[in-house]
Amino acid sequence: MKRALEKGGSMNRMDSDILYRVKVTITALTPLLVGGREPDRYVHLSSSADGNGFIIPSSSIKGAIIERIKNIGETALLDFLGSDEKEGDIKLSEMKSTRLGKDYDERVRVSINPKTRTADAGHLFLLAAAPKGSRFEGHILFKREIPFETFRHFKRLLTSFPLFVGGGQTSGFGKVKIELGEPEQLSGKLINSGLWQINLKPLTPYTSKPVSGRLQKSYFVPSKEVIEASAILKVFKAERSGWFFPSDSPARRCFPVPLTYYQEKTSDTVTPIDLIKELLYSRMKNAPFLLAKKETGARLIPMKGFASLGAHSEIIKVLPITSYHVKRNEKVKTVEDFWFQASYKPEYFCGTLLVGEAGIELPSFTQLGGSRGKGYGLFEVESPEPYKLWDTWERTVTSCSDFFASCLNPTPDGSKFFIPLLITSPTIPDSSLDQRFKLVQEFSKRTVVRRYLPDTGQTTLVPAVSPGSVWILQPVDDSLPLAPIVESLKQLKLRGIGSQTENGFGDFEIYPWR
Amino acid sequence: MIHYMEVIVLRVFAYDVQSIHSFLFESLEFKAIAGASRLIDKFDESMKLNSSESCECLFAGGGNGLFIIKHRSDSLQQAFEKNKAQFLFDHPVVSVEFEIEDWPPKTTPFPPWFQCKGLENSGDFPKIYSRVALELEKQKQRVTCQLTSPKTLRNLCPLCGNREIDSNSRYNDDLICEVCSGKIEEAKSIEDKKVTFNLEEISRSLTKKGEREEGYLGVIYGDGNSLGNVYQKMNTPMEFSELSALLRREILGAIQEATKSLTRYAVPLLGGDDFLMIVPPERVFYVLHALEKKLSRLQAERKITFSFGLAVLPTTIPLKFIFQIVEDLQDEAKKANKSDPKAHGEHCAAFRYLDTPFFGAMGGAEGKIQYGVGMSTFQLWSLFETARKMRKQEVTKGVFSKLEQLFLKSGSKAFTLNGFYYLMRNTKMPPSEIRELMSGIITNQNFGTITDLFLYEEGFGEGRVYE
Repeated sequence: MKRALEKGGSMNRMDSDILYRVKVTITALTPLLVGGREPDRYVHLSSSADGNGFIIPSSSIKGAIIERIKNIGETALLDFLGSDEKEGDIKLSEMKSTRLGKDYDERVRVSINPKTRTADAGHLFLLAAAPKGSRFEGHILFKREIPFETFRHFKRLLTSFPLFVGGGQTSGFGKVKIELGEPEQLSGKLINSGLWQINLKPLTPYTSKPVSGRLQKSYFVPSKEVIEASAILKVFKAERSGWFFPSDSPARRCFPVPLTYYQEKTSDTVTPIDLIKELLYSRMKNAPFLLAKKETGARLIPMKGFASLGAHSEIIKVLPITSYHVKRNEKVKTVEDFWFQASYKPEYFCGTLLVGEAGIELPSFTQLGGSRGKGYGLFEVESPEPYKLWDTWERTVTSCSDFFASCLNPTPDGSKFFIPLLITSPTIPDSSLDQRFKLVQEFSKRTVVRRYLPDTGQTTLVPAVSPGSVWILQPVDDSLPLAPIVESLKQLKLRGIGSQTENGFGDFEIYPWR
Repeated sequence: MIHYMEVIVLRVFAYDVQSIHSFLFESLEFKAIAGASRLIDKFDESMKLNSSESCECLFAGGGNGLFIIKHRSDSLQQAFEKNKAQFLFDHPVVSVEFEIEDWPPKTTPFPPWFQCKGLENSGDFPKIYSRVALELEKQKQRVTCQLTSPKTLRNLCPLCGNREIDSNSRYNDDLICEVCSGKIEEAKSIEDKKVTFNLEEISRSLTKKGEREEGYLGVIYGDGNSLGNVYQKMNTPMEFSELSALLRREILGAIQEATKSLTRYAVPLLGGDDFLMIVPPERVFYVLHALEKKLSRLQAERKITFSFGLAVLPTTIPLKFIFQIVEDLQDEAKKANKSDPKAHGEHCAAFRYLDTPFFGAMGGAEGKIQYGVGMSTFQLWSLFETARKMRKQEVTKGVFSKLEQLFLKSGSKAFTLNGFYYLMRNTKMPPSEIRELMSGIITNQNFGTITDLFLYEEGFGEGRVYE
C-alpha cells in the first residue's frame, strides 16, 4: 500500500469493506472547549470527556475538517466526508487524550454588550477547557479508493496550518495541530464456512433508534442496547447471524440474563443467583416458595441486563452515553436545531455468524447502526474464532438430566434426557421444532420485534419469545442416546428455531446448568 | 362470608395484569400514563363488584385479584372478560381457576440444595396466595402457544407505536390509536384546578417567568418498606384487606396534605403501597417533609416505613427515563433501609439533582463520587441543612467545584486537610463549622449527595425562584 502510494498509485481496495487506517495525533495549541459529552456541572461550558479523560468526539473533528475544506474551497473532497444525510467514505474514531484524568484549565469570561460596552447581568461565564498541550490520538479510516495525490493534498490541507475545533474559537480556544501518519492497509480476514464467534470493539459509541410512531420529544433520541442481526447482516455477508450483546471482554460472551436468574433486592452485588432448579422443583411438585434467600432472608428479584454464562457469571453494566449535537445554519452559523442522542459503548459487542460454503472476508473495521454520518457505530473487528460453546453441551445435558432423574421424578414414559435452553434472540417456534424436540417447561416472556419497511412505509410488528427466556426440551424419540441428540441440537443451532431465522430469529445457547 | 378455613376443597379464581409496566408506559404521553394507572384501578374496582355469597373477593388491587369460589359459575369469568376489554383493551391479563388440592395448606420440606425459603413460617394467607401465584406464573410464562401473528401497520400511533391510528381519535394535532385515546380520556377525568398532566405547568407554577430557559420537575416515588414481611405473617384475608385499606387511606391522606399548598401537581401512579408524585422543583423537599409527617402514624403504630426516590431534573428528559431514575433512587433508599443500621426503622430517601439531561450511574457504581446514595430521611435533612448553610456562607459553585476536585484527587485524610484550608481561605464559614463539615459531615459515601443538594439549593433555594 505504502509503495503504491509512493509510486503515485491509488489506495486499492480489496472489496467495499476494506479500509485504510491513518493514525492521527492532535495537539492542543490553545485550551480546547469541545462540548457534546459529559459536561462539567459547575461551569457553563466544558470540554467533552468520558470516564477516563478528555475526548474529541468524531463529529467535532469531522466538523473542523469540513470547515477547513470549505474555507479552502476544495469542495470535491467534501464527498469523501459525507454529511448528515449521506454517509461518507472517510471515518473518524474518537480522539482520546493520551493522559488520563480531567485537569481542567478553568477560565472566566465576560460577555460584553456591544451597544452599552458593559457586561449584562448573567453574562459571566465559567469555562473548563482541556488544557493547552493536551495530546489526543485516534484514527482516520478510508473506505474508498483515494488517489495518492488526493491523499497527499488532503494531508497538506489538514497539517500545513492549525485547525480550529470546538467552542470559543473567537476567544482563542480550540486551535489544534493535527499530524497524520502514513496510510496502513488493513487486510480483511478470510473465514471458511461454519459458525464463528465475532467480537466487535467499539471505537465510537453505537446508536440504533428503536422503531416507533414518533418520539415524544424529538430532541432526545433513544437507542437499543444490542446490535440486532439485521444490522450485522447488512455488513457481513453471512448466512445467518445472532444478536450481538454487550460484553466486557472478548473471552466472555454475554447474553441477556435468563429469566431464571435473580438478585438480592437490596444489595449492590451483581452476582446472579440461578434459581432454575428451585423454579422447576416448585412447578413440578406444586410447591410454592418465597423469593428470599434461605440463610439470610434477603428478598430476591428478577435480574435484568446482560451476563456471561461461565462459572462465575457477572452482570455487565451497560450505561448509556448521552451526547448533544447541534445543527448550525450554514450561513449565519446560529444553532438551528439541537438534540440529545443516547448511545452505548461497552468494551465489546459479541455474537455469532454462520458463514456459508463460499466463506467470507471479514473487514478489520466496520460501521453499524444509526447516525453513521456523525461518526457513531465505528467498530474494530477482532480476529474471529470458531464457535466452541457446543463442546460443553453433552456434559450440560447430562447434568440437567441427572437433576431431573434424582430430584423431580419425571414421568417414566419420556426420554431420560432433558435439555435446558436459553433463548438468545427473538424466537417464533413452529412445527419444525416438534419433529425432534418437545417443549416440556418454559419460562418465557413475550417481546415484539418492530421493523420499518422503507419501500412501503409500513412497519411490521412481530410477536416472539423474548431473548432471556428459558426452555426445557426433551427429545421426541425417547430411545435416542445422547450423542445424536446433541448432534440434532447442533443442527438446530445452525438452522435456528422456528420462523424468520434468516433475520436472526431463533438463536439459542444451552443454559449454563450448574 | 365464606368461612374458607372450614372448606375441604378450596376453589380459587385469580387474575394478574401482565407486565403492568408496559401497560402504563407504552405511551410516551404523560396523560396516557396517568390514565392507564387509573384504568387499572377501575378494572380492579369493577372486579370487586362481583363479590357475592358464592364467590368472595379476597382482594383486588394493583392489577391482581383473588376470589374464593363456593359455587362454580361462568359469571365471574364473563365479568372478567368484559371488564378486561372495557378497561385494559388488548393488554394481556392472565387468569386461573383451580382447586387447591392439598388444603388445609401444608408446606413442602425442600431438599437441602434449595436456595430459597419455604413457607413453613408464613401465615395461612400467604400459603394460599403463593400457591395461586405459582399457577399465575406458569400461565404467564407459557408464551409459545399464545404468540399472535405478525401485524403490518401503515400508520403507527405516534404515542405508543403499537397500533394503527384511529381516524376518530385525535390528540392535539395528531391522530392516535383507540387505546391511547381511551387512556387520555380517562386522565382528563381526573384533571382539575390543581391536578394537571402538563409538565410545563407544573414546572413553572412557582418560578418567576423567564427565570430559566429550561423547565425542571420535582419527582417523588414512594413505596412501603418490607411490607412483604408484614403480609407474610397474616393468617386471614381479612387482615390483608384491612392493612391494604389502611395503607391506601394513609397514603391518600399524606398526598392530600402534601399537595395542599401546591398550585399544580400530578400523581400519575398510585396503587398498593407505592405512589409517584410530580411537583414543582422548588417544593420537592417541602412535599417530602409533609409526607413524612403524615406517614409518621403508620411508622409509630404499625412500624411501617417508606422509601423515597427523590429527583429534580429537566423536563427535557423523556418520561420513561425520569421514571427509571426515581425507581433506581427508590431502590437505593431501600438498600439503605435494609443495610444501614442508622436507617433501620426510619423512612429512607435517595436524592439526585440533574441539571442537564446527562445521566449516568447511581450509587454503588464505579468512580469515586457516588450519586443518589440511599440514607435515612433524617440524614438527608441534615445534609440539606448543611448545603443551605454553605450557600448562605458564600460558598460558591466555583468553591464547591474546587472541593470536588480535591475530593477526587486526594486520599481521605489529605482531602480533610486540604478542604479545611481551602474553605478557610475562600469562604466566610467559621472554622468550627468547617472542621465539623470536613471531619464529620462529608464522607466518601455522601459527597455526591451533598454536591447535588448544594447545586439544587443554588438553583432553587430560598429567595431565588420563589415568587
